[in-house]
Amino acid sequence: MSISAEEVLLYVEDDPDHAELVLDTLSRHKSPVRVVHVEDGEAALAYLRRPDAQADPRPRLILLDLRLPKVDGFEVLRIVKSTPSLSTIPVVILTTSASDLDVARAYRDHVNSYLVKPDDYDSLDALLQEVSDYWLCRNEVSLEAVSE
Amino acid sequence: MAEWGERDEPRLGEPPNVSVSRGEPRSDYLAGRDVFDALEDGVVAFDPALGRILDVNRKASALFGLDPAQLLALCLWQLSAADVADAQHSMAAFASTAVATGQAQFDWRFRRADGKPFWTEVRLLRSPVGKNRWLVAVIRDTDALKAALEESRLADERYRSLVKNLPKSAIILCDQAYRIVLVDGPEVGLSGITKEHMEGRTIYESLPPDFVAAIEPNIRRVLAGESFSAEIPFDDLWYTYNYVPIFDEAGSRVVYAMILAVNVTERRRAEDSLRKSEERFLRIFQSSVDAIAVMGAADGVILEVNPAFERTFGWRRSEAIGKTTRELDMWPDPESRERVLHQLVQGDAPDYVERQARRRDGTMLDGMVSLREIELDSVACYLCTFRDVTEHKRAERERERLFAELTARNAEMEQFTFTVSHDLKSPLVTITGFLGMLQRDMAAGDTARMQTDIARIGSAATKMMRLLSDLLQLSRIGQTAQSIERLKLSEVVHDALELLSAAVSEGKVQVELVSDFPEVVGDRVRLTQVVQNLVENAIKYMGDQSTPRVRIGVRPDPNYVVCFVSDNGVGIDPRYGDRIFGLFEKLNPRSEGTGIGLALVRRILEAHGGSVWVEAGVERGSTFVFRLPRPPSSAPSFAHAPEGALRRSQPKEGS
Repeated sequence: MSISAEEVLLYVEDDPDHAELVLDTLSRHKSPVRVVHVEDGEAALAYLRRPDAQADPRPRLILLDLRLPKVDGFEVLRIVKSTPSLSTIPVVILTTSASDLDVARAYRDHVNSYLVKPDDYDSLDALLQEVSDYWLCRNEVSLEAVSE
Repeated sequence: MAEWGERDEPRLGEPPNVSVSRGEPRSDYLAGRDVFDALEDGVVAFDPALGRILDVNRKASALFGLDPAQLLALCLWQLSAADVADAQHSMAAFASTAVATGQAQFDWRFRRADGKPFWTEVRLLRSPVGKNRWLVAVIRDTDALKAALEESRLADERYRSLVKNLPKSAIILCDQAYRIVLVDGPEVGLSGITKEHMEGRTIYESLPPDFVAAIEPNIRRVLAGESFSAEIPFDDLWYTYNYVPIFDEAGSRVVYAMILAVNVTERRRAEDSLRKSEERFLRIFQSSVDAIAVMGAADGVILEVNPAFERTFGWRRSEAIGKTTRELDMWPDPESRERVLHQLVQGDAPDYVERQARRRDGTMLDGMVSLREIELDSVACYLCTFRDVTEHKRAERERERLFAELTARNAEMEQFTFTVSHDLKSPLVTITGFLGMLQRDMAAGDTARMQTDIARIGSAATKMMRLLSDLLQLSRIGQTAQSIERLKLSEVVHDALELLSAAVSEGKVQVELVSDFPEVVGDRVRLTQVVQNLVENAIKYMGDQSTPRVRIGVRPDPNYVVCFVSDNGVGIDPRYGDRIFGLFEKLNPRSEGTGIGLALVRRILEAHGGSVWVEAGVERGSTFVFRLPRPPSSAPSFAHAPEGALRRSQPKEGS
């Protein structure tokens, strides 16, 4: 099953420099995906609750920073995972914090994956590639594995 | 009376000139019934064979209370008081002895006619009259004598018993010649001088000279008729001497001086020890650091107070005695005294309770109060101790406050460290990320992109620097010595606005001061920073306001100085009202600044004992409100500085 160009990745990040890095990396990936970038938790929730499914479809993945203004990342995670219509959307946290407490809390709130932002460019590039490979091309990967 | 040596009396050397025949009693003398009857002893002649009385004299008759005729009808043994058979036998035995040897002597108990027995001393003699073997009993009434002797013995015994049982006493009887006639009593032995040594000797001969010197004048007084007492030591013992003159029967002349000496050493020692103990108590009472008061238990009237009481409460002793603690207004409330009493006067009462009390000048003291029931001169009293711990409590409270502050600071520090490390990582990620991009762009030869990459790296580095310096500033609040002074808030506002004059004119912002500004106590530099940050914030978030306006003013409040900075800018969602004061929280992530400004403002105000918060503006925009404690009306002193970090600072010179 291939992904249509209209698959959406909701990217929630307040730091403009970090956003620049990530967006740049994602744009050069082989799987085309439309990235919707918002800068705070409130905007993220606003997008998710938009009634217009056509113009702003349900995202295939939410890439979430933790420390966000207005509504922070944990709150967004909690709301997404406790709202029946949203709970099946995979949430991957991408943050600078390597704190055990944050990791534990995130998994307790049913995050699908917790990733720490690497501090070199190549690693970031590779990480994002894997993220998009896994979460956005999931079905294809698993079929291939089975047939081996 | 006839003189010896006349007519018939023979002179010495001369043979007697008697005309009577030798060996014959003189007839005129011999007609001796008179003599017989005149004898003081009873004489009974009797026949030893049967004991039949043959003759009695007048005395015998008197002794037995019977007429001679009655007596002559009896046997001697019949007059006996003892059992008849025994009497007869015993008397017969004596009689036989007398007959054989010429005499016998024995004590015999006879019975008078009225039945009363009496003792006699009996001498049996062979009768010189006639040739028949009569016996003559010479009966001497020893009854009276015996009774007298017995009485005397009893008296003696009584006397001895009395004297022996005199507690720690001695009796001395002394005559007009200062001779010791009698000395007795249990104390005599203790003196070391024996009774035998003293009796019969003068006081000078038998007693130690210094003791004699002490008692001689007293004895003289007694012998003169005086009666008195004196306390005189003997070696290391103390005696009370009671001097009593003994008069003769006529009552006119002093025959003896009687001295009753009582050993009062123990009593004196007890008195001494009591006195010493009282002195000791008094010393403790007077020198105690704690205030002590003695009060009557029934009425609570103060009977005695110590100097510490005077110092602690400000009442002089003369002012306190005679009043109750209530009259002196010492209790914070009327029921206090009852509560304290109730707590302390019980079986398992605690040693002390903590209570407040009021000084004369009205100030309240914290104290540890203890109470003991005591008896003074048979009156039930309370001994009440008050230890002033006001300073201690103040130190304790200060210590607790500092500890709480320290704990809070530690928690804050942990949070701070965590937040900081987390947030410093962010620009590092940017730097390293864009270094990678730079490499890629260099490889591709894209110089335009290279330039933007470098710019990003540079700005991220700068951001880190600013972050670090802001953090340093934040951490310094409340740590280094600050200069606290009384400030005019109006000056602070003006200084802040001056610093922002460029931003104000650039943003074309209209700044209005809408009220008078009072005085506050605090650090000038820091408070200026507060106003500066708040106004800067307001300017930054004007948005696309065509008539940007910032209003600065004061709200009325009874306890605080409340100041506001309101703008008509974009405003803040009230949901985030508290979050914005957090560290690194930025309202707009793209804006300049490290997100530290409001955190700094909050920290500074908290250090001044105040606080800050944000309210939504009336139409749009927001109003930041902060408050500071009202300064005291008098000149600032360290003790009156607001609670918080300022306590550690020193007041500026001249303030």
